[in-house]
Amino acid sequence: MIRFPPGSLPWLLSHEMTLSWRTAMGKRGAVRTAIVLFGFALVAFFGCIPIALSLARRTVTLTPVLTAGLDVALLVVFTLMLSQTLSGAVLAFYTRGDLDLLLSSPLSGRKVLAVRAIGLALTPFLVYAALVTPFLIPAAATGHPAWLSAYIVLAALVMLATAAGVSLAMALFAAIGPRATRTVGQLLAAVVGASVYLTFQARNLFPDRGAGTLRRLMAFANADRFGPGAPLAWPARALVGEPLPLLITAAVAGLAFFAVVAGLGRRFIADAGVGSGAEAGPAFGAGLGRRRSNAAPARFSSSPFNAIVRKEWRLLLRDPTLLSQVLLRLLYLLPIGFALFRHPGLSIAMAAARGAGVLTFFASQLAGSLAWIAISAEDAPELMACSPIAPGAARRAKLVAALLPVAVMVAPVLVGLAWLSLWAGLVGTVSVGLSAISAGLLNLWFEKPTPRSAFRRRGGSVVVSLGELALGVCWALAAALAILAPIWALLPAALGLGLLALFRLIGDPERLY
Amino acid sequence: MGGYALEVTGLRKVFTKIAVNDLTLRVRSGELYMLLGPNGAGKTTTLRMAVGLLTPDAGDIAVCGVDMKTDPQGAKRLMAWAPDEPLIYDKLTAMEYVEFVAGLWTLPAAAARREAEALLRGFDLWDRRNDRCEGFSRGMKQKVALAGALIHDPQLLILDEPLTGLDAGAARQVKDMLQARTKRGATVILTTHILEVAERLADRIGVIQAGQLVAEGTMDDLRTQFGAEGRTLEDVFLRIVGAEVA
Repeated sequence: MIRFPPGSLPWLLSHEMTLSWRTAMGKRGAVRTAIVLFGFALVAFFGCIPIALSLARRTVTLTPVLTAGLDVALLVVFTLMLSQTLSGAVLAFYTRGDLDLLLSSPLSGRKVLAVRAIGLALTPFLVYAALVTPFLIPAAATGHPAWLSAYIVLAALVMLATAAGVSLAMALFAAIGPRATRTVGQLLAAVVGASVYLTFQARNLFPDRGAGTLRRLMAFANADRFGPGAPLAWPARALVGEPLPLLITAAVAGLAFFAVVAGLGRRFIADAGVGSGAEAGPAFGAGLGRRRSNAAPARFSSSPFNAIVRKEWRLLLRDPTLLSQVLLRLLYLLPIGFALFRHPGLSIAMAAARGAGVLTFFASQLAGSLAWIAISAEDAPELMACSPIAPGAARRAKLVAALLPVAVMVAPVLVGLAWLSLWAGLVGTVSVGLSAISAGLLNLWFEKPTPRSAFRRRGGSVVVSLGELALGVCWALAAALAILAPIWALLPAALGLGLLALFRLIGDPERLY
Repeated sequence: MGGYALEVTGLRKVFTKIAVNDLTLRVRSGELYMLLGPNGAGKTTTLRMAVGLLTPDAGDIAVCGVDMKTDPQGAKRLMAWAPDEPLIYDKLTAMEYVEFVAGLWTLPAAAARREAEALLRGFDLWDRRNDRCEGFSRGMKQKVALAGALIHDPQLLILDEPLTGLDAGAARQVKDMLQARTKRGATVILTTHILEVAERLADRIGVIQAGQLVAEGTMDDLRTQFGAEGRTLEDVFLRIVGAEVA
């Protein structure tokens, strides 16, 4: 094993890598790695190797359209990388533990920032490198060795994304302060990531404009802008291994990365110190001014039910990061809904059926997310447990707190559905109610105290995620069929009820309150 | 007020090893009782069972005569629990937190509002009542949690290391508050590793080791019992624990 001199950049980097590796591996690291490797082997064997073999010894010419396509692919990868590096850079300011240790040591801030930045860059690089490897290696082995330059282009992209992410995070820090940076940075990262998805779903969102837009894009690509000598063609040319574009791409990215690390090292120390202080309290109060909650005057109530519902809503509304994650989940459903609902030439009955189905599934997902936050992500479960409120009453209050916002959000759409067809409105109301309550109950039966920060993984509960999905689909199908052919709606409805009964049977873990 | 505020009989709890073993403990109403013991002795496990957070494997718990097993809600209504890590919501303001706890204990709104103001003023938090707890220091969070614990004027107050993280001024406020509560008839049980505090405040002291109560009494009782006349509680404690180890 190579031993680097203590305090040197590679020494610190190897320390960071060891920690990252152990964190990534977790407790069941070997099993997870084996599953991932098996998946890769399958994809490579059945998908990538046949494609690479079909391209063997064939000359691939960069036409303007292909060049534009490769550029778009690189832009998409860059945007997704930027989302990751921005999110990571914002969090880096607040990771108090080891950052305090590093910054209180004689290491220079520049070195600490360099290591953090390399750490930020390494994860997305490894992910995308792993994704292209099953295709690149067979392609390189069967006549296209120059395509291995894709690794260098990926490294260049990730360096650019890291430089941009770190600069953006520090600019936000300077402009809006440490607390707001955390929220805005995380939101921005999420929006950047979602923008890629929504761009690709433009055809579903605007089905009537699809063909025209595609024609215009093809015309745009076929113009001289992506010809061999055009600057816009350089990224694609670098990707297929042309030496000069590759060299220039790598040099520009490397320069940007090192300029950020060298130029912002000192600033990073100052920001990180203030950022971690902002989490702790006294430093924030002393140095940055107090935050007022703009809270309405306290409303004391002798009803525990009201107290719990009000508390849940307050906590949700005051956590924009969490709220944005909930809404982003719904954003991802939007194009599917549009695709189903806004199809040209759709009859009213079919539109109402699809609308009711989409709305039912939407309600199920929203209710599931909110129920998980209210029930499993309770910040002070022991306070609830040692209070005199009956456990059932507390859980009911939390369920209501989760379901009422769903009702408020879907009510206007249900009114619209009823305007389209009264029967559809009625069916939609019942199916939305059933799907939301099912998702809520599922979270109740599989309650697992988890911090709110684990929302994206739902505290790792696969059963709840799959259950919500299955129940949402059942009720959505039942809703759609109830409008089109009511008798057939009994099938998915019975399946939904059966699933619900099954979950009730296997759920009900030991609860704190 | 007569009788016991907390009566624990034959309490037992086993995790991977025995945490609490046939523990019997009786704390009289109006007492300030200090529960001491080395790390891992079973103090916190005992208290968590007493407040209903853990179910004992065996034994009975009664709070002011109300049985925890048959009427947990009734027992919980009479007491408050404040652990070493404050049980608060960072995104709520200090006032909203106290308001929430008052709701859980179904206090009449007007009385709760009055009591909340008195408590927050008493803990020097009134000027920060509309600030979210996320900006508070650990000591301030501890005081908010204590204000929440006291809002329903509990007959039995159980505190696990309440002085951890408090500055000298805040620690004095808490100690004064505890003594004032016992003078008004409430019972306070607390754990601490600051033996000087225990020596100065406690009416009676219990020492737990390896899940069992190994010594109990007033300061003078313990000195006599362990042949340590004129010695500090630290000396007595070390002798008790040392004797057990030997």
